[in-house]
Amino acid sequence: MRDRMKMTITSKPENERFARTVCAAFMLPLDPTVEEMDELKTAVSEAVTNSVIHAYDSNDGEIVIEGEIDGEWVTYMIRDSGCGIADIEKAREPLFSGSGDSERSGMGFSIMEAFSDEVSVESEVGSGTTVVLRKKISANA
Amino acid sequence: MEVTLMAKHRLVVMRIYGEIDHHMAGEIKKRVEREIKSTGAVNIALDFGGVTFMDSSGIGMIIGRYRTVRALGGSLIIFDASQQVLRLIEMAGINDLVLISDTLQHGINMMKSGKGARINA
Repeated sequence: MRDRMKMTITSKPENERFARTVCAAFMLPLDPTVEEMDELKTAVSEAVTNSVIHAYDSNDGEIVIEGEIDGEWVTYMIRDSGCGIADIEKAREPLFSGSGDSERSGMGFSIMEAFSDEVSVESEVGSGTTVVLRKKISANA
Repeated sequence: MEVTLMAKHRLVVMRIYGEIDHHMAGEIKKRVEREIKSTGAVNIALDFGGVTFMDSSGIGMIIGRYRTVRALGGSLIIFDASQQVLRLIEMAGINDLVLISDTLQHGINMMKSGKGARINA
């Protein structure tokens, strides 16, 4: 089957829950297990939270979230038009946090990688960051 | 969030409801820290029975509260957490820092017997 969705949210912490809940609902036609749902919901939450925290330096900006189902694969693209990431390799290192807040665990990208089958990050300083998460949902008999 | 004080154990118990994300983690932090300061308690127990989702912001919040109790010579108990939450705690490698238990009473017993959570950092 094929399906698509697209939404735009303001980069507010209050919208993180809305975004991951919509993404979890979008994949329901693939009949995922509870674990698969939890995994993708968590991965999406990490990507959206990164954009909320880092992209716009506490100003409001837009985060675009697109979903696509193609056969057994579900793909989410989370895109902001914020400050961008200067060193993506560094940002993806386990426990690295670009935030000055000591309560950020730095686990965001590690969780995205553990809970998705494919993660890609594209970023340009000054124009924004796009994270793509892909996961295969095998039919559950 | 519901908070109760068990003065005998110098323990603040907080019941958390809903989804622990970046937004909610900040609220929990503020509330717990306020209770610790105002009551003189040195131990924290977080009741995860009502938690339906957690992401890495919850891990950051847990590590932060661990730092708080460690500085006071106390312990952090997490009880009645779901498999989804326990999996993240394990991934973060912090399951040796916090006392993880099924029930509050079991967590208090672990705290009393000095189990877990003593690193010299």
